[in-house]
Formats: sequence, structure tokens, C-alpha cells
Amino acid sequence: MRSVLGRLIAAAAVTLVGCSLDLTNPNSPTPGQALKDPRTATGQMVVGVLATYRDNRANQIRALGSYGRETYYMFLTDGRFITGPYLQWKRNTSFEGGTQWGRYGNYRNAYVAIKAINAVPTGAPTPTALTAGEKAGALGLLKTFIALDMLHVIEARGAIGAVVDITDAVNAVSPIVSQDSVYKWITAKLDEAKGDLDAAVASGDPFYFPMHSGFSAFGVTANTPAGFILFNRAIKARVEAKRGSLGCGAPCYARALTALDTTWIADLTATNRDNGVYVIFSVSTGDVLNFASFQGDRNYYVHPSIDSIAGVTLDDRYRRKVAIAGSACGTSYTSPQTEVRVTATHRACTYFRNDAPIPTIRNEELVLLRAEARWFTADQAGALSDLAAVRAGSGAPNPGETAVVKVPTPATDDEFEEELLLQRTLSLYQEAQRWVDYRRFGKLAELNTLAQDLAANFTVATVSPLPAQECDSRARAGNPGGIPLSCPGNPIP
Amino acid sequence: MSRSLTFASAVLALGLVPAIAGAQNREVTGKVTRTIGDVPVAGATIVEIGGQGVAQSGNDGTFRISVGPGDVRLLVRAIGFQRKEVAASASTSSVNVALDEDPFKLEAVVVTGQATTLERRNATTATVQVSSADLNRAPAQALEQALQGKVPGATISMNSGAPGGGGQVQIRGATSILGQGQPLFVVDGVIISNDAISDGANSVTGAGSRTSSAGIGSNQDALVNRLADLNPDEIESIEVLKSAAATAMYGSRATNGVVVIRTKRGAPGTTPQFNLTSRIGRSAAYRLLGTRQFKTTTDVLDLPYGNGLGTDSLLAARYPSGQIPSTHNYQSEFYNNSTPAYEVTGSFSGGTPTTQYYLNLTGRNEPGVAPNTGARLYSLRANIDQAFLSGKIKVHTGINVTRNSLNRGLSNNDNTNTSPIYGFAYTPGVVNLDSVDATGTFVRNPFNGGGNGMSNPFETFQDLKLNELTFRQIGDITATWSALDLAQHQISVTATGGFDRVQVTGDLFSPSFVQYEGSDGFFGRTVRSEGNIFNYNLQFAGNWSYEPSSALSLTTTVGYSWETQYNRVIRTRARGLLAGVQTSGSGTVLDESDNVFGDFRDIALFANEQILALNERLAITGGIRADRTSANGDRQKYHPFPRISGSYRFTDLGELFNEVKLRAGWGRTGNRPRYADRDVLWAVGSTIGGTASIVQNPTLGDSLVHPETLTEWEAGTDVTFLHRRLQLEATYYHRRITDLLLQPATVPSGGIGSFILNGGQLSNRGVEAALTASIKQSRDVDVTLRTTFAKNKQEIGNLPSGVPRFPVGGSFGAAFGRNFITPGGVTTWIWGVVPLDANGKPLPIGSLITNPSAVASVRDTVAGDANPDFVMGFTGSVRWKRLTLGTTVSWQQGGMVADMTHTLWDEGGTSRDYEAPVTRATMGDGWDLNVPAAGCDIYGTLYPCTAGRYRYAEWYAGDVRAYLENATNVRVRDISLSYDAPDTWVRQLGARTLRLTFQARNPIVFTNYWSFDPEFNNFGATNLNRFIDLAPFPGNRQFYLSVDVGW
Repeated sequence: MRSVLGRLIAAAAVTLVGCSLDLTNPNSPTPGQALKDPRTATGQMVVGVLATYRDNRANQIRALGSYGRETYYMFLTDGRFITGPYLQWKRNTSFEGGTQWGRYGNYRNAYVAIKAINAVPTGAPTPTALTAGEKAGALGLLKTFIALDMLHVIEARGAIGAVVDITDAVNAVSPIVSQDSVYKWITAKLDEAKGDLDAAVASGDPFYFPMHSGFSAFGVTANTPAGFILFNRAIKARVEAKRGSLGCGAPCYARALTALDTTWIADLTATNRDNGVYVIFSVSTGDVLNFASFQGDRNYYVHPSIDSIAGVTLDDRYRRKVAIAGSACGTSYTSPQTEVRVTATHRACTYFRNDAPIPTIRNEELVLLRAEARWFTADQAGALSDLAAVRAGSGAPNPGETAVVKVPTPATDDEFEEELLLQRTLSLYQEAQRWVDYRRFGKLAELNTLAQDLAANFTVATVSPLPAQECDSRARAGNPGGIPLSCPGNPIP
Repeated sequence: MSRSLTFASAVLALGLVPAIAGAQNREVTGKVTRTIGDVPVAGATIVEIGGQGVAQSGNDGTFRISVGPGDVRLLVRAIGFQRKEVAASASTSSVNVALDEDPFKLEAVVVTGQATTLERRNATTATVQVSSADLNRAPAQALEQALQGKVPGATISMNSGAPGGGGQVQIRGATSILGQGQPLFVVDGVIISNDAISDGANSVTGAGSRTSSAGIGSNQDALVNRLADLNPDEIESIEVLKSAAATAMYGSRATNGVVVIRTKRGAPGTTPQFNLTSRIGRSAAYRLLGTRQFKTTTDVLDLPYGNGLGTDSLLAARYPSGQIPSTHNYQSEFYNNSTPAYEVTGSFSGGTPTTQYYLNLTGRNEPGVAPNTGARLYSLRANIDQAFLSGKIKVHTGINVTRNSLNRGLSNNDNTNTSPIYGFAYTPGVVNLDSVDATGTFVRNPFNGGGNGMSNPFETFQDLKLNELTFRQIGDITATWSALDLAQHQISVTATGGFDRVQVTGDLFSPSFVQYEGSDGFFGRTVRSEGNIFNYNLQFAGNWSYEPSSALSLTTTVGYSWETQYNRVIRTRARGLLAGVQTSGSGTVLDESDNVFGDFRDIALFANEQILALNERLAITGGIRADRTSANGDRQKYHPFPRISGSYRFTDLGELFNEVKLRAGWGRTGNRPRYADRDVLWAVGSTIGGTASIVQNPTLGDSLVHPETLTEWEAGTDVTFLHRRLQLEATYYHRRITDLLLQPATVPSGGIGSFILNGGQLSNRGVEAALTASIKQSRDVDVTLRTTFAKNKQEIGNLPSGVPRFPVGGSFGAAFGRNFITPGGVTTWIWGVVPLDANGKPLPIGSLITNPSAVASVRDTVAGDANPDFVMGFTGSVRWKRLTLGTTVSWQQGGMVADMTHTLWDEGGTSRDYEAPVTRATMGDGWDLNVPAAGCDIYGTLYPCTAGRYRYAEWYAGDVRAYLENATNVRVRDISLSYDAPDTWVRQLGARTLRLTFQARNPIVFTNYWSFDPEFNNFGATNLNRFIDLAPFPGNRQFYLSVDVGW
């Protein structure tokens, strides 16, 4: 009996010592596991930045489309998708309040990818090494996307300003800098990125990670370091033009024109207007669908202020982007829809299929940016010819169409702005631009003229307030730099 | 560790070690009966005092025991009876024993350690035991339901009325914010899984985002936790360990209490017995919401939400006069399935002194009140106990095989108008939805714009397939080797092991032609999910009992245990299906997820000491267990969990106070971190252009994460008084949970969502009391009543610096109410938007409409408290001759519920009291009744202020209190009336016993709560936020007629 007991105890001891508790998590990799193959892992992280940028795009179009009176998002069982951005936009707990803060998540994706890439040994291309040129190419791309994500943040946040620098300390409260400083930071980041891309071009090394077809399938070749510089400059032009309208004036507009010269800008025609860089969607497993599309989300309705633009039904842009007869969507969904007592007649059809790409920036916008920059650098004739080209190439490319026009020959800056805003409204419909445009020209009040909106006490958001969590976190840290604008205790700017 | 009842009660309670030793030279037979009424007592334990004979009485009360030569004394004990010693002289071969009843069940044993038990009379902590009879008074949808109202200090709620169960047990309040919140369930020594796996309803309802593979299923899918697979018919008793001084023996998984379940076993020395129980019954929905009566087509066209829009021509054709003579009550048309429920249970048991067996087979079918819903359980259990080497080795084994098929349809939150209560809320009852056109297609729901934004639930429940099929096997084995057996010393070694394997197969198929299909661009969808759970645990314990004198015994236990859990779910979903194809290979879009949701390994070392001294007046139990687990940051470090408790009985105090026991205990338990909390991880991003990607994990793990720690002390008294007619048990406890597992949000501008850390403190304190009265016991009449009372208060002590206050994860938002973790706050406070005056004081409800100028701000603040003031339970049993009536009643006073179901119906303009006048009776307390004559503003238009419009307008303007409702309720949980047939009837059947029983579950509910049931919760089992009622499957009452026959 004693020997049996002894054996049992021995067996028990063996079981006890022999077992490991170091279970690994099959769902997600630790950085250490992933970086055993740094070339693959860092390449997949770069793709992660491209994919996350894409994932945020539809929500941006929904939120800014509501702020900018492009669409009502009529979600059947929850009217707060309308009342949030239209009525209660000052509350940082309202629907769409704090929109675009997910952009910081992608900023951190890029930040971590940059650190990981910098840590990879430099050498001949192997699974565990990257060449200096490969590294430079990746860094240039990542920094460009950091700048682009930050542009979307400041577009939403406006006069509140934003945090621009993130650090390893994920919970550190970083200072909020002014709108102007954010724009300056973005242009500097774009230039820094261009420096990296130039180095990559000089090395001759291609991108070592797959570039999705949104960089190459739409009349532009931006999937190589050299081609990507064109995209970087296009974003740079957009940023400089916005700075121009926000007080910088001619110097920034001049830089915008310079940047535009090194993009794919071409005099606008119906065939080249959509040339650009896009984010793409697909029905493949693990991929994402376009939830700003007619097929992907049935809740986007055209704001009636768009329908009521004089002569709009003859404009090809309206005919293409609104679900009416002749549009890709056909006429099957034209019955009026009412929610929270506002009514819309048409559904939006800018993107018909649920795998339709969404432009990041395309030629039509570049030409509109050039028109704006030309006007404010005293090239009125050039500006008006660009606007005319937009009206012809996009607004009325087909027989029987007439592009809308508000001020055919503007004489004053104000008249030009009115005409530019009208053309941008239609040309860039559902590209998350209208609200930002009206704000930067100080014309937000013009967005709120629809009778039913006024009856419902709707007002136009000046900013998307900081999310409540940001306010809470900063308050907990003692609000370094003061209570941010739009947080409890400090008003909405 | 739980052990078999026979084994424990026969042996361990006496401090002995099992042994049926060598030479026995005579047999004594006998019969155990109840003193009053001469009823046989089954399951009584007969022990030869000072000898080695042990036996148990069979169902007819008879027993057969081997005893030594000469005069012997037998100790006869049975749960529910007072013990008795009888003499059997050398010449006696037959004894009859009559036992007096003990309504307080002091002879029952309670678990005190991995291999030790104590009699309840000596218990050192508050204990709750529920017997098979109490448990099975009426058939229940799941074990939780059968326990409702019977465990003071435990909040037991069903998540909805859907067939097949889904519930939650929370003991002494929430003890964790993020960690496991449910007790540990241990069946015959096997730690079983109580996981809940979604079958993919979210792919239809879109309650959470359904666009990515992570959204195939969600926690709002009316999940069934796997306790639903247990068959209450097989259960002998349930013991609920609440105090840390008791649960600490389960170490880092025990903060939420431990539920020890023992299944039935064969009795030694009994003839084979066969019992057959047949039940037939039906369910009926109760407390349906009713509907607004629409009188004119204008009422419909004028609905506030635009619901009626586009239905002008339809209404004109159907109601040409514009008058609507009657309104359909869709709910009563829909929830009216009356297919009978049935259950057949057959058991076969018996045993010799060395071999005992118990075999049970149950088939149960419970149709739901909604069409094509139901739960069907088949369960087989075989328990075998075998002694070897003259009893030196005893082996107890059990195996349980179940098949559980659930069809529960859709319920709860949804964003596609597909769950019926949701859909009906937005559908005025002016069309006949339960009808088909000439082609057999169901009528399309024309409201809210019609099309695939709406659904017809009659069609949905006819054509949507949503099945969860579970195959489960649970096996256990306990082997005890009596290594040394001397007069004063006994040493034994016990090995206990068991496994629990569950395979859950979910099949969802939504054909392309159903009305709601296509709302996401794809017509037809299918989800196939496979969940695999495999848990096993193994424990070795050495036990040394030392009994230096009859007045003192010491029991020392040392050992170790090993537990492991493996959980995996693989799901595939296809959307845009080929016509009629149900497999996921056929779609346009395929989403897949392969998720390990909890692999754990735990190792523990333990040592316990149990002392019974001063002739069993003083009992002391203490121990320590040290755990390490794969979930901890440091996998090598052992975390100690000590405990100590003691009791002292003052006996012989006279007849007024028969016995007073004082007891106190202190213990520390843990709650281990969640799976993967310890790891700093990257995450899988979306695929773009055919390339998959890696992104930051939005949650930053903590490589130092360790278990939450609960430290509790409790003190109490058990008093038997008034000629042993009354027993009072009272307990006060104070528990403090430190090193909370937290996942606070980071600064959003830092780019990470949240991070994991330990810190902060919660505390719960409360009182539990029970008064049991044995009012009358006579030949013809027995009356026993028991009343329980519980009150708990839970506070948040502090949070670590660097952690801001935060809403509990999964909250809906300030408009609907949510729990907020804020230092100095209370975990049950409901936070939400409330209009405040210039001094920051809440204004009366309605002020946003009646007195907007007084509103200085609308702030997210404390708007209510979900915590009940107290909960009471009443159980009673009355026997009059052959008739026995038993019932369980519970009463919850206070506590608030966010009645979002009510919000939906007011928003849809269809609530039953929508057009009622604004009065105190219709609005309730706290409302300002001075509504403006101009009307209530609904989306910018003024309408006459009726109850529904006023409530909704106030809520919509920013007052969560408009739909926070009082949850006070009194309900009869179960009731049974049984008749034991006279012997003449029984003999004609050739049977031994015959009983006829009428049973009812939830027959009566009294509450002013507006919606179905204040206990229901949209999120299922959750630690916090358990007050969200949102379009559940309605509650139902069940009635059964049963026949029990024994041969």
C-alpha cells in the first residue's frame, strides 16, 4: 500500500511540474511573434494603415454629409442620426459628435509601423532585412497617411484645434494646438514624407508591400514611390488651398499651385475627371463593403436643399449621383421618406454598388483647387476657365444637359466663392467636402435655409466637438493647457 | 470538492473513513418510516456505531445492514429528519425505526473543503441547500429558473421568456466589472462550462454592427448559457456557497460563489426500482403589451415617426370610410402557440452493498409561445458506485449525455426591424400580417416605408431557421482509497476528475424572399457556427482524520488540482445566397471567424484543516489554496487564498431557545483575468485589395495582470427556538474587491481605445436572513413555511489614479441609462441625461416640455438605482392527508429598469396607453402633470399631450427618467398540488407508488411595470448594466399535469 501511495504522489508531482501555463493566443499575434518575419509583418502593417484609412471613409461621408446638408441619414429605428448632427451637434455625446477620432487609431497604426520598420536591420533584401530605399518608401507612404488622417481630424474639429503629436505613452494627455498650427504641422509632415519618397526613388527600390489597385486602376500610377509622390503633392495642394482660405491667403495658394504642378492634374474632360487615387472595396472574405453606397446602406437620402438648386435636374452631376431615372440606381426608390419630421425625396446614388470605390482625391477636385488658387493669386481668367471646364466636363458632358451656375462671371471674391462652392457641392457631392468648404469661406449660415430644417430648429454645426472621452481624460489629467474648447466648461467655437 | 451524497453523508460527516471491513457475521434488516403518517423514508443512512456496517434505505424505507456480533447500536439519519439511535441486540434480526421530521434539515451535509464536509448543524458559514423536491416543484426552462426565489442573497434572473433558458445567477452583488460574473458550477466534482455562444442572429438583426466577420454574432442575440443543458430531474441537491470563507477552496475562480450540484445515485441494499414520470402541459404568454386602438386612418397617417407614410392608398382601400373598427393585437396573434409541452423521465436505480447504480433518461419538449420556437432536451445519466477490496477502495462514476435543440427565433435589440416586439412597435395593427396572398407569400409590412426596411414577423418565424443544437458529454470519477484505518487515525486518498465536452452547432438560414432580406444589399444569408468546449479538471487530495477522543476530531487535507478549459468558435456566414442553398459555400460574400475565446490552465495547491471539538459544539474550518493560472501576467507566481471560519453551538438551552449557533468566517478569493488580458497584442485588420493586414490592437494588454481579490468576512447566527418549531438564520457580510480588472478608455487622441490594469476597489455589504417555521406536524396535516430576506449594497471605493470614471462597457448611452464606474459611486446607479435647474437640482420629469425655461442644463447624472431595496422569498409546503401543496413566492421591492421596450412602442405610436390622458395614474410618480395646452413637441410639431406623446417628448428632449420604471414585483414562481394515490389504486397498476401532480410555473405576477418583466435583460448575463429591457421574447406561464409511478 505504501508503494502505491508513493507512486501516486510521484505521478502527481510529475504532472504538476510538467505542465506549462504559457498558452499562446491564436487569435492575435504578439509583436514578438509577428516580427520574427519583419519584412512580411511590417508590410502587412503598412497595408493595415491603407485598410484602416479606407474603413473610416464611409463614416466620414455620413457624418460630414449630415453636417454639410448633403444627406439625411434616415436610420429607421433611430432618428438620432439626424438629430445628432442637425440639432444636438453641440453635445459631445450626440450621434456623430466627436466624429473622425478613429483617425488617431490609424495614426497610431502608422506610428507603430514606422517604429517597427526603423527597427528592422538595414541591408540587402531578405526576410529579416530591408534596404534603406525600401524603408524610405514605406516611411514616406506612412507619413503621408498620417498627414491625411490628421487633415480629416482638423476638418472635423475646426477652430477647436487638435492634438498632433502622439508618443509611446498611449494614455498621455498631449497638448491641443490651434487649427492653424495643425495645418502647418500637416504640410510639414507631407514635405517630410516627400523627402523620404525622394530617397526611395533615388534608391530605385520599389515598395516592398502590395499597393491596392486604388493607387493604380483609376488613370493614375501612384503605386510606386515615384508615382506616390504625385499623390503626396495632390494632398499637399489640398491642404495649402485650405490654409489659403483660412487666412494664409496668396502665399499658401501659390504653394498649392506649385504642388499641383507635380500631380496628374489635367484640363478637365468627361474622361479624365475621375482620374485619381481611390479607396477600394470588395465582397471578398475579410474585405469591407462600401457603406456609403446605395447597395451597401439604404439610409442615405439626398438633402432637399440639393434637389432645390435651380436647374439641378439638368446637371449631369445630379443625374449621376441621385437615385433618379437614368442614374445607376434607377427609379425604384424614389418614394419620399420622412423621419423626425423631415422629408427627403431621393436616395443618394453617388456610389451605386456596394464594392464601388470612393475617391480619396481625383482630377476634378484638383482642377477645382487650381481654380480657387488661381483666383486668389490674381489669375481670375485661369480660375474661370477651370470652373467652366468643370461645368462642361462634369456638369454637362452630354447633349441636353446644362450645368448649374450661380454667378457666371464673378466680379468679387465673394461672388467667386459662391460660384466655387456651388460647383464644389455638386462635383464633390458625398466626398465629405461641403461642410468644410462652407465653413472655411465663412458661409455656414447659407447651408441652413431649408424650411423644414428651420421648423425643426436645426442649426449648422460649426465643429464636431471633442468626444466626451477626450474631455473626461483631459479633465482627469487636470486639463493641461486649459479646458479644451467644446468640453464642459468651455464653449463651442 | 463535491462528492457523492451517499458517500459524504454516510461517512465523512461522522469523521470516519469508508471501510466495509472483513468479517461480518450477521445481517439486520429493517424499515425506516416517518413517525407521523407511517410513510417510508428513502435514502436514510444506517451506520453501525463503533462498527463498520453502513447501509441506506430504499424507496420503500427498507434496508439491510451487515453488523458485527453481539449487541450493536445503529445510528439512523436522513436529511429532513432528526437522527435517531436504536439498539439491535445480538438476537435481533429486524428493527423498525421511526424518525421525527426535521424541517430545518440540520442533518444535511455541507461542503467545507476539497474532501471534507460538515453537517449543516455545524456549518460555519451561511449555507443554502435546495433539494430535488424544491427544485422540481414545477418544470423549469433551465436550472436558473428552478432556483429563482429559493436562494437568499442570490439574484437569479432569466434573460427573457424564450424557450430553453438563458439566465444569470449573481451572488451577493456584482463583484467584478469586467471579469467573470457568474458562479462556478460544479457537478459531482466536474467544473462545468457555463459559456454562451451566439448562433449568429446578429447577422439578421444587426443589433451590433453586422458588416464584418466580428459581427456575425453578438452578445445581444438572446444567448443561452450552457447551464441550460442540465436536466433538473437528475439532481439530488444543490448547495450554494456564498461566503468567501467557503468558496476560497476554489481559489481564483470563486469570487462569484460556487454552486455545488449533486446528482442522484443508487442506494445500497435496495431492490431495483423503476420510476416513470410523465408530464403534459402548455405555455401561455403573459403580460403582453397590448396595443393602441387606432380609430381613424388619420391616426395612422399622423404617426410621429412617419410610420404611416406611403400607406395612404392601402388604408383608403381597406378603410374607405376612414374609420377603423378594430385594431389587430399582433402580439396576442403571434405569441399564441399552444402546442402541448411534454416530458417523460424514467429512472432505474438500486444497489447491493458494493455496487449501486442510477440510470435516468429524460425527454422533454417545450414549445415556445411564438410560432416554430421550442426547446427539446434529451438527457441520459448513468451513475455507478462500486466498492473494491472490501470497501477499501470506492469508485464513483457518472456520465451524462445530452442533446439539446433550441429554436428561439429572434428577440431583443435589433436595427433591422426584424425581432417581433421591435417590428410590432412600429406597425399599427391595421393590416392583417398573419395572412398570405394568392401565391402563398406573406403580406408585406407596408409601414415605415415598407420594403426590406421592415419585416413581417409571421413570415420571419415561418421561414427563418435559427437552430442551436448541442451535444454534450459530462463524465466524472471519484476514487477513494482508504489507506489506513485505525481507531483514532484514518488516512485516505481521493482522486477526483471529470470532463465536460460541449459541441454547439448553430444553423441560421434566412431565405432570400423574406421581406427584410436585402437591406444590406444581399438577399439571403446563412450562418454556420461550431462551438467546441472542452474542460477537464483533476484533483488529488490526501485526508488524515485524527480522533483522539469522542469529543474531538481533526481532519487534515492536502492536495493539488489541475483545471483546464478550451473554447473555440468557428463561424462562417454567406450573404447573397443561391436560391434554396443553405450552406455557406453558396453566397456572394463570405465572412469567416475563427476565435479561441478562452483557453485556460489553472494549477492549485491546497491544504485544509477541520476541527470538531467539545462534542461537536465547536467547529473550525480553515485552509489555504495557492493558484497559478495561464491567464495571469506572471504564470509562475502562486496567489494564495486563505480562509477560516468557525461556529459554536449553545445547546440544551431549554425549550424556548433550543439551540443557538454563532458563526463567523473570513476568506479571500480571486477572479482570474480574462483570456488574453495579459498579452500585448497586435490585431487583424481588414483586407484590402486581397491583402490581409495587421493593425494595432485597440486594447493594450498588461503583462503584469493578476487576479482580482475578494476579501470577505461574514458573521451570523442560526437559532432554533420555540420547541424546535422555528429556525432563524441571519448573516451579515462585507466583501471588498481590490485589484479590480479594469479596462479604462485612454485619451482618444492617443490612438488606442483602452488598456488593461488592476486597481481600484468595490465593496458589497448586505444582510441575508431566513425564518423557517414548522407550524404543524400531525398525522393528517404538515405545514412548513420559509421566508427569506436579502439586501445588498454595492459601492465603488476608488479607482487607480490615471483612470477616469467610465461607463460600463456595452452601454447604450446616456439617453437610455447606463452604469458608470465612478469613485465614491454605486455600481447599480443608473446614469443618464436629466434636466437640471440653475442649482444643479433635478427638475420634475416632464420639465423639458412643461417648463423648459427652468431647465438650466441637461446633464449626464445619476437618474436612478437598479438595486432593489430588498428581496424576499416565501416557500411553503402544506400537506393535508394525501394532498400536498407547495409554492414559491418572491417579492422584489424597488430597483429601476430602463424600459426601452416602452420607448419603442411610444416612438412607434402604438403603445396601449399612448392616447391616455396625462394623470398621476397614467404617468406615475415624479411627473409634472401640468402639460402645456399648446401640446407636446414631437420632432418640431405640436400634438395634444397624451401619455405616450408626453413620455416620448420628454425622453426625446433629454430625460432618461421618462422610461426608468420601478421594478417592484410580487410573483408566484411555482406552485404544485400533488395527490398520493391510495394503495388500492396503486396495487391495481401493479405499482409501488403513484402520484398525480398539477404544476405551474410563473402563474401569477403582480407589478406595475409597463413591459413584460423587469427581470429581463437585453444583454443576457452581464455583471453590470443588467437593467435594459429591450424587445425581449415575452415571458410565459406554464401549466403541467404529471403522473409519477414507481415500481
